Amino acid sequence: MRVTAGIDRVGSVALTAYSHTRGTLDLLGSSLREARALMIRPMREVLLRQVYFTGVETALRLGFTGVLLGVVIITQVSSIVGVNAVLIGKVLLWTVVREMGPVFTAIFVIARSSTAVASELGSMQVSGEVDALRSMGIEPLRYLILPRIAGVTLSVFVLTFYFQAAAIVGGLVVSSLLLGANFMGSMPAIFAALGLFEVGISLLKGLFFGLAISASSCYHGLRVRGSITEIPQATTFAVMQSLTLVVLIDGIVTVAAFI
Amino acid sequence: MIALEGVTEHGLMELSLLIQAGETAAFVTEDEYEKDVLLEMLLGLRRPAQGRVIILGEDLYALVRDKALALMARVGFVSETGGLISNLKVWENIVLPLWYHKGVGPEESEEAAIGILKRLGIADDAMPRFLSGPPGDLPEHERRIAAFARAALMEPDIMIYDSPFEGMGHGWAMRFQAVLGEFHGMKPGRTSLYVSAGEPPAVLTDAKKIYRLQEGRITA
Repeated sequence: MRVTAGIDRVGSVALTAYSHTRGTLDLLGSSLREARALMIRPMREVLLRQVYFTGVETALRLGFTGVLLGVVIITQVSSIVGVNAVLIGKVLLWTVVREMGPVFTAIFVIARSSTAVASELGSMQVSGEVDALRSMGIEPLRYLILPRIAGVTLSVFVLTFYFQAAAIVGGLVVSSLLLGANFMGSMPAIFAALGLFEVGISLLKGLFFGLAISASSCYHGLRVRGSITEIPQATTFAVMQSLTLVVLIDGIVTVAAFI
Repeated sequence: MIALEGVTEHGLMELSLLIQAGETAAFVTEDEYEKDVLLEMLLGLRRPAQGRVIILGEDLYALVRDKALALMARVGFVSETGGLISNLKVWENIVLPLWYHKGVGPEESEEAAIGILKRLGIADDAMPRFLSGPPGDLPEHERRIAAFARAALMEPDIMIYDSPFEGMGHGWAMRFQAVLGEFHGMKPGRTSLYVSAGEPPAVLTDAKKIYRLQEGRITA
């Protein structure tokens, strides 16, 4: 009995996850088909606000975190291999560009923007504002969803690059001072290890992560129906689905690119 | 023109009515729920289980999405609570539909919008406070005023009002009714429908037809 109940539970969770993922992909597809609507000024305003909230307001903290991460990686690696500037620099580059950069950026954005977008859309549903837009002939998909998806995705894409730069450059500079290693003089040798392919893959991850996070947040926000008690649930679902999709996409892209 | 043909939905039974272009009518339901269901059907938000909702000669629920939205752009609606978007300032709410549908930016519609607000009793020195904050900072009757300005800028062919005078002081209600009456006459063929629960607003004297709902059916 317990075994069958357990199997039922696993099946139920799997079906729910499939249903939510499919709904998220449907919403993403519908939004991307309306991409031309971003040419219209009101939608561009929403897009710019989203970029400001997700990108600009996050930049300082993300940059600081990047520098710290760079210092941590260099410190850990140097404790294993000694103060070998070129080797440490290359490990830093590979680690940050291939994995830590895109994933850390995504986690930051999930923590800040995924919750905000899901709860904002959820409360708009509860208060009837989404219906109010429809009653004015304004399509919520074009005015609310598309600019948020575009804004979050663009922000994650740019922030990924920014985080990597902060981690690498900031980490090397600070570690030069802390460890006394000549990282600055070894920069050309360090950066020679970085190929366009790796940079491209990391930015591709950033793009896919942005799409996954934004679409998940919008989907779960819009699922809220009539009660404010559904909003925290929607926010939790948005965060968990975003995290799961980020890890899944990371795994798929990494295996496809580097094996 | 607004017509319901045999509309049945959630306790509303085979409603049929016709409000011609240019007319003013009132619709009085027995309770808030019936009023909300009726309004949702008229605004394209709830498909009736049976029957047709005709807006400006079009069967609203037979249209594809984009055509239905384009039709709703010709219908102005003032809800009891205003229906403003909470993450936009009041000013941004007022200019949004005109900007979205006709590309008329906030700068170009400013004069017309402020003219409407002044006519409705918003004083010059109160205007910055009124426009620059979020809708939640305004009392309900001022949110309705903002909602009316938002709808009026679009020069709609139909105006639907949900309990517009509810909770308003007598002076505000009289001024509001005068402006709504003037607005009705400003465009030939404009139809105005006032929907309320309980009793038609005492201040409303312009309605040519008054429809009453009793036990889900129109009785008068």
